Amino acid sequence: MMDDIALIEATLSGNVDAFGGLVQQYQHLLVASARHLTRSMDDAEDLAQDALVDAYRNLRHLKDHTKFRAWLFGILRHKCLTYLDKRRPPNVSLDDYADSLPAPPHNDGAELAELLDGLPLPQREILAARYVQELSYEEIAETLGTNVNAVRVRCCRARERLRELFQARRLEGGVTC
Amino acid sequence: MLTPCNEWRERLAAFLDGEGSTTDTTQIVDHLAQCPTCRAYAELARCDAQDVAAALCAPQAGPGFAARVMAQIAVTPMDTAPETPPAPQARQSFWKKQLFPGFGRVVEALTVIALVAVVGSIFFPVFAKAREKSRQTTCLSNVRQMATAIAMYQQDHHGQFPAASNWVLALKDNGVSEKMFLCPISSSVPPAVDYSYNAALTGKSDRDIDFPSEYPTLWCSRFNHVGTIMGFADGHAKYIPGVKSIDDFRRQQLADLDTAVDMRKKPLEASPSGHAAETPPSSGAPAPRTTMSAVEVSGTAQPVENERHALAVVVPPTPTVMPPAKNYGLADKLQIAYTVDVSIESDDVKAATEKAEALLNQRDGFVLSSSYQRGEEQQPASASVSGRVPGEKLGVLLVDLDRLGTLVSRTVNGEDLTATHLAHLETLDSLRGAQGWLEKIEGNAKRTPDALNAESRRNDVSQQAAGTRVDEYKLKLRVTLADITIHITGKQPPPVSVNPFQKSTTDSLRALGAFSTGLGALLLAILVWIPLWGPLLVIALYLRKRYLMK
Repeated sequence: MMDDIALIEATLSGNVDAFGGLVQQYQHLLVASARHLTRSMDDAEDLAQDALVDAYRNLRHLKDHTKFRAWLFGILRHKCLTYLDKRRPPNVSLDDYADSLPAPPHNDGAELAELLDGLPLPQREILAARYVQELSYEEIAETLGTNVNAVRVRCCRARERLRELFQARRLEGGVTC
Repeated sequence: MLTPCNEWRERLAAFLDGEGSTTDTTQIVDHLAQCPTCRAYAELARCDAQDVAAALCAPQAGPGFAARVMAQIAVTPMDTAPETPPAPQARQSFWKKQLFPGFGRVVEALTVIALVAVVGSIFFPVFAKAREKSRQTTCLSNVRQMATAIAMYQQDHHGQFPAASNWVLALKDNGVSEKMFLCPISSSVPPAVDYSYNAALTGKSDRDIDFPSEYPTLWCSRFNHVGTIMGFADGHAKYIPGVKSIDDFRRQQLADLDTAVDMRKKPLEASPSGHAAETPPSSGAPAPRTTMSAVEVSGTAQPVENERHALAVVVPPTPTVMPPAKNYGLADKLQIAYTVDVSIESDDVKAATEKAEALLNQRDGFVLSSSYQRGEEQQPASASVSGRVPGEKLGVLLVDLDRLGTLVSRTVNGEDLTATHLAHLETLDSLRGAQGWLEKIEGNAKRTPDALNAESRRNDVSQQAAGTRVDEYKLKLRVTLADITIHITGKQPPPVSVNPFQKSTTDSLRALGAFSTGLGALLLAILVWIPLWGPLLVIALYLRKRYLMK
C-alpha cells in the first residue's frame, strides 16, 4: 500500500515512469477481473488498458491515495458494464458456430472458470472484487454503492452457488475439489 | 449439500474471508470446536475460496500489455486538478441525519412534500377555524365595550344616544380607545373606524326604544362574511350568524314578525267558539314596519277590543289556546315582554328542580338552562332553572310553581309582584265564588217571581266576571312569551360532625377518581389517534427504509 502511495505521488509530481510500476502491479488483476466480468479474453485487455489510461488521466481527482485499488477497480467495473451494455450478440453463422464454442475443460481450474462464467453478473463482480482485486468488504461496499452486510451475504451466496454448480458438474463428470 | 447452522452461515463465510470482527472470531472458533457440521462446511468453504481465487486469477495479461499501456499513457495528458474545489457540504443537523440520511434526492423531497401536504390539509382548517374564532371574540369584545360606552354616555346625557355625527368622539370620551375601533380582521390603522353606528339613534333617548335588547346600535362592517357582530341599545353585544349586513338583520326581523303575526291571527280566525265571528272587522291599519322595534308592530291592541266586545255580550269564552310554540326562534324572542324571576325554598332541591323543568315542558315551554349546585357543609343546595313559556301559560305555571316549596319572592320585569300575584289569585277565587253565587241566584230566580231582580244581579256579576276576563286577555295577548328564571334553594342543613379521617378518605377517593378519569381520557385519545396516524407512520417508515436508508 505504501508503495502504491509513493508511486502515485511520484506520478503526480510528473514522473510518468512511476505509473509504470502501478501498471506492472495491477495489470494481471485488471485483465483477470475484466475477463470474468465480460467473459471475453479479447476485450478484457482492451478494457483493462482503457481503465489504466483513465486512471492515469484522472489521478489528480483521487482524494484518498490509500483507496487506489478500489478506485481502479471501480473504473474497470464501469468500463466493463458500459461494454456489456453496448455489446450486442454477434451474428454467427451455423457453420462457424462449432468453431466458436469454447474448448472442453481439461482441468479443474478451467472448469471452475467456466462455472464462474455461468454466474450472474452481480455475483461475478463481487467474486472478482473479493478474490482477484482482494478488496475488503468495506471497499467492495463503497465501490458497489451498498453496505457491508449486503456484500457479506452476496459473497457467501455467490460462493455457495458456485459450489452447487460444481457439485452438479461433479455428479456428471466426477470432478473433485 | 452440506448445510451449516443457519445463524452461523454468513458469519462463517466472512470469517473465512478474514472479515469477521474479533468477537465474531472468538465465537466462531468456539462454535467450530463444538459443531462438526459447521467445521466440515468451513473446510469446504476454505477449499472453495482457494479454488475460486485460483480460477479467477488464472487469466494473465499478455507480455506486451504493460508496454502498450505505457505507450498510450505517454501520449495522454494528465487532467489538471480542479481549480475550484467543490463547496463543502453543509453540515447536517442531527435530526436531519437521522431522519433523512440521503436528503436532497427528488424522491425524498417529493415524499416530504406529500407528507407535509397531508398533515397540513388535516391541520390547516383547524387552525384557520381557531384563528377565525379568536378574531370573532376580539371583535365581539370591542363591540361590547362600545355598547357599554354608549350606555355610559346615556347616563350622562339623560338617556340620549350619541349623535351619528360625533359618536366616535362620544365613545372615546367614555373609555373606548382608538384600537377598539379596529376589527382584528382588517389591516386598518388607528384613525380608521371599522364599526358602523345606527344613524337612526340620533336625537333618540332610551325612552323612545321599546325593546332595547333588540335594537341595534352599532355593528362591525368588516366581520361580515359568515355573520355579523352587533351591539344593542341595552348594552349587550352578540354574534348573529347568517346575517351579513344590517339590511339582512332588518329583513330577518321583519320576516320573523310576519311569522309572529300569522301565529297570532290564525287561532282567532279559526276559533270554533264563535266569538271571533261576532267581532267587528278590524279597522286598524297594519302596523308600520319602518321601525325596528318589535313591540310597535306586534303589540297592536285591536284583538283586545274585539275580545272586550265579545266578552261583554256573551259568557266569557274559553281562552284562545295558542299553538304550542315549540319553534322558538327570533320571532319568539321578539315577543318576550315579561321577565319573571321566582325564588323558592324547598326541602328537596333536586326533586324540585326536576319538577320545575317538567312543569316548563308541560306548559308548552322549554328549558333554556338548568344548573344544580350540591350542598356543602355550610351552604345548602341550590339550583337555577331558566326557560320560556307561552304567555297564557305563565299564570298557570306560577300557580304550579307555588307547590314546589315555600315562595320567597317573585319579580316581573324587576318589579316585585308577589303581593299582586297573590291578589290576582284571590280575585280568581272570588270570581269562582261569584260564579257559584250566580248559579245560585239563577236557581232561586226560577223559583221566585222576581226575575228582573235576578236578571239585574246576573248582569252585575257577568260584568264583573267579564272585566276580570278582559284583564286576563290583555295580559295574554300582550305576553306571548315569558322568560322565567326559577331559583330553588334548599334549607340550611343542620351542622353535622364530620369525621376527619372519613373526610380525608373521601377526598382521596375523589382525587383517585379524577386521576382515573384523566388517565382513561388519555388512553382513549391515544386509541383514537393510533388508527389515524398508524398507517401514515407505517407508510413513512416504509418510504424511509425503501428510499432513504440506501
